[in-house]
Amino acid sequence: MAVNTHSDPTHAQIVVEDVSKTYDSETGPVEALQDVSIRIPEGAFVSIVGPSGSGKSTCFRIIAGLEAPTSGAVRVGGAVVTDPGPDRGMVFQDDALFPWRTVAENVAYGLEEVGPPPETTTAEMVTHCLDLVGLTEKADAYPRELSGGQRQRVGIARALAVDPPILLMDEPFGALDARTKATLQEELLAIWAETQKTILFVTHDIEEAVYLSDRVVVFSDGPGRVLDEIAVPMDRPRDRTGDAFGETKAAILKYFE
Amino acid sequence: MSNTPETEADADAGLIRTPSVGRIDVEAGRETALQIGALTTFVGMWWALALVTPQTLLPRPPAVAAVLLQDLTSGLAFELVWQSLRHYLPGLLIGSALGMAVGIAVGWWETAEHTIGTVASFLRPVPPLAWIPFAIIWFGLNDQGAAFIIAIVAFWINYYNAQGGVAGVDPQLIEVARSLGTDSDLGLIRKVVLPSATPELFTGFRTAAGQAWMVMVAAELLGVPGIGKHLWDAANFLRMEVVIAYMLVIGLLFLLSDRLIRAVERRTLAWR
Repeated sequence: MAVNTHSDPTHAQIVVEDVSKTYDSETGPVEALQDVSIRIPEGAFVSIVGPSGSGKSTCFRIIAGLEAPTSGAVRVGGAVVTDPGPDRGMVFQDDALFPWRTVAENVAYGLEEVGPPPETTTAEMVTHCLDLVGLTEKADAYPRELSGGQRQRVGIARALAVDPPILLMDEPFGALDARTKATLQEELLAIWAETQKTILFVTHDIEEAVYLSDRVVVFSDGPGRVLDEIAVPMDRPRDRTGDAFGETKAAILKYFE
Repeated sequence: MSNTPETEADADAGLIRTPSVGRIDVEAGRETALQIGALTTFVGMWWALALVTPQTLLPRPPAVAAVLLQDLTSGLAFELVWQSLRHYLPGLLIGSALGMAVGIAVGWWETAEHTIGTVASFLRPVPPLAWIPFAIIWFGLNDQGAAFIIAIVAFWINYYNAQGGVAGVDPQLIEVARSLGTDSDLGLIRKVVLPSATPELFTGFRTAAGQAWMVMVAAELLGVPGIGKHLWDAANFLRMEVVIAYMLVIGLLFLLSDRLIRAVERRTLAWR
């Protein structure tokens, strides 16, 4: 898809319109998504939560352009998504770093392909992004030399390097221990505050969704449908132990019982 | 404690360093001793057997050593190695390059898999030596003919390893690359598939380099000048000490090429 690579507000809105997805399997067609409609405004932080097998990853992949919907469409900045592209940075649960590239070379990948944003150089952008995730000292390390948390940071820095208006994150902290996860959540919020990206965050962790997002989209068990959209009107930083936090969590949790 | 911090640190360092280095030395020494012991025993058994066997059937080690010494000083050994390399290297390199290229294409494009892959699965069972008649009528009993046979062997080994290497590429890395702006097939092959499949490509090339020595000797037995032809000519005169000498030379060449490729592999794959 020919899209402007660099930040442009008109490209930062995601609209999912009546998207359904049916897979063919040996036992017949399997419906993964059913009439899903979501609108993610520019600059918002929206999470999708749902049990595993609820189609939230399918929805993520369709928004990313990795899969085509059976019906309906996803529009990003007005244009229908048909392919992955540098306007939507992606971060996966298993970091998906290029193991043969050093940390700095991983971050530089997208810049080699689409060039650095105006008035910067590749080297400056790499330094800036490593600085954002606090990994300047690991620039020359290979991914195998890093911890799980560090690898996720590199994945985030790599996605940020081409300065996409949108960040799509599929359970990025799902494989991390509790402490690392909490640290990375803080860092992500700081990066979001600084860069003003539109973030779509898929997770099965309700607390994580409530802690991070402006809005939580609750998916049903397969076929995936949107059961509810719950706004989280709390100020940040949020108190995970507060009443408002607990009530929001409970409002989401009731869909899982 | 009456020790100053410096001496304590020194003592600690000494305590840590000495035993660990010592242990490595002992292990390495034990390994070398075993290797030398095994080789000595092997030569000893050969020698003992040769003492009770006619020289024309099994020559003794000193006779073989004498041949090697003479051919090394006269330069004949180097001349023969050079003659062999003149078809070994072009055959190995051309066959490997083609095998890798076709293997990657078949691994990447479904159309190539269904077309080229199908033809390949029919040609694959043909033993490489069965191509010798074609090698002779197309090229003759010369370097080109021998290189052709070697190239066929190298082609298949590299073809299957490259295909497997492409199949083993993590699909998520392809997705990430596409999301970061790599949109052409050739771009994805160059930036993701090739580096990702490099370990398999090396394995293929190294295996092919070894197999190529075997088939090289077979091709030379037919009369293409080189180590194999020399070995065969000597056998016709029952000069078995020459035969053994050049068996050892081929073994050495195999070891050297294998070590060399492994060394390059280790440096290239430092990221692993």
